[in-house]
Amino acid sequence: MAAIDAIFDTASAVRSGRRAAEEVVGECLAAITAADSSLGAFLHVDADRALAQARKVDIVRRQGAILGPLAGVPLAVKDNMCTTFGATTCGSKILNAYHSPYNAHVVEALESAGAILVGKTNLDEFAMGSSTENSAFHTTRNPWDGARVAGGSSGGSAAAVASGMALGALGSDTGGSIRLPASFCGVVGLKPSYGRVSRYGLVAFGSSLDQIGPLTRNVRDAALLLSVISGHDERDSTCVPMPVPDYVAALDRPVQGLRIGISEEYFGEGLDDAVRSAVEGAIEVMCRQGAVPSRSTCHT
Amino acid sequence: MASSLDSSLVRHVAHLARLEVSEEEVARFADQLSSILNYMEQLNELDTAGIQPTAHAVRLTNVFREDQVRPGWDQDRALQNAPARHGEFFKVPKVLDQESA
Repeated sequence: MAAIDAIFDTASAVRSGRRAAEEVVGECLAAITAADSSLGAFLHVDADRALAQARKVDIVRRQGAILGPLAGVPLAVKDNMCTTFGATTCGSKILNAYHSPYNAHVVEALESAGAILVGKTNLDEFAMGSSTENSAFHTTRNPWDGARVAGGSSGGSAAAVASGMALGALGSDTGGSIRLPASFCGVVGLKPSYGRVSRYGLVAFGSSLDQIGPLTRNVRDAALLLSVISGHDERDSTCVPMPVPDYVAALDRPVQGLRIGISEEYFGEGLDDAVRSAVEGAIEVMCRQGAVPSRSTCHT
Repeated sequence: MASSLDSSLVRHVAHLARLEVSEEEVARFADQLSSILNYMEQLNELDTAGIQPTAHAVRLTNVFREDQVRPGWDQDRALQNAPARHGEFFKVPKVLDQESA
């Protein structure tokens, strides 16, 4: 697969005028046209709307206005997040014709930061599944190997990001639905702490567990997306009124003295050797830089 | 202590959920639901005397806002997904003359 631009670099290239938003968005739309009939990452793509918004970003920039942190960046959202464009189906034919009268908080947040939403991504029906084979519309395939699943339930978002059909995407995670597909497709996925991101406009699965989070190609992009979608929103009463730290700046802090919990239960029977050595390797890298491993078990 | 659900409770729950269940199913569900309750009762074996109750991971109480009038949606927007409408209203199948609950 060709090199795919990071969100961070793309946003700064658009802000400085080195790249036109229309061109950046056009590249993702071309990738969708070329690959999505075999991958099935999207349930809905609105190319005209995306290109029109991209042109608007380019015009605003030429007029000298200050652009948002995600200006011109093509992103995708899982189809259980309400958008006033297209349908919001949750991967179910029950909602085949549901057109939300309002946007989810995260959709408002991304768009006011200048992001361009290219479409809505596939999921296991109502987010209940771990493979994205259980969408009522089609299966999403793994971009690295079409014979394998993308993981789920945010499999469409993970496959879209891994294949460059969007530079980043949002998924939702109740019991692994961001983390699993991110891992299956080789992208970064983060489930934020409960209450960090407003669930307003997220179709509920398990209301006391659901959180929306980013899927991106690198950690810095995940930090950037998280900083845009986080924060208090009175329309979700379980959203915490706490300030949002500068997650991107926090990445430069050393890991010296950081205590890393490692639960033995994750290293049990059936663990693939390649996975084990990758995780152990990551622990070793952290420890060499001064992090302190703290191994524990749930069995007492 | 073993819990058990008798068949009259299963019928009552099924009625509340507006589910039709056969006599065979009532017996089967009474068995299954009882075994689920028994499984959960293992939790009662734990000594939780010195443990603080955790109702929720997020410590928020009484999330209120001022009761102020705010602009809402106009009727067309609110009704845009209605399968059928009657003027300014949602039109739904009649339900109230069925067996009363």
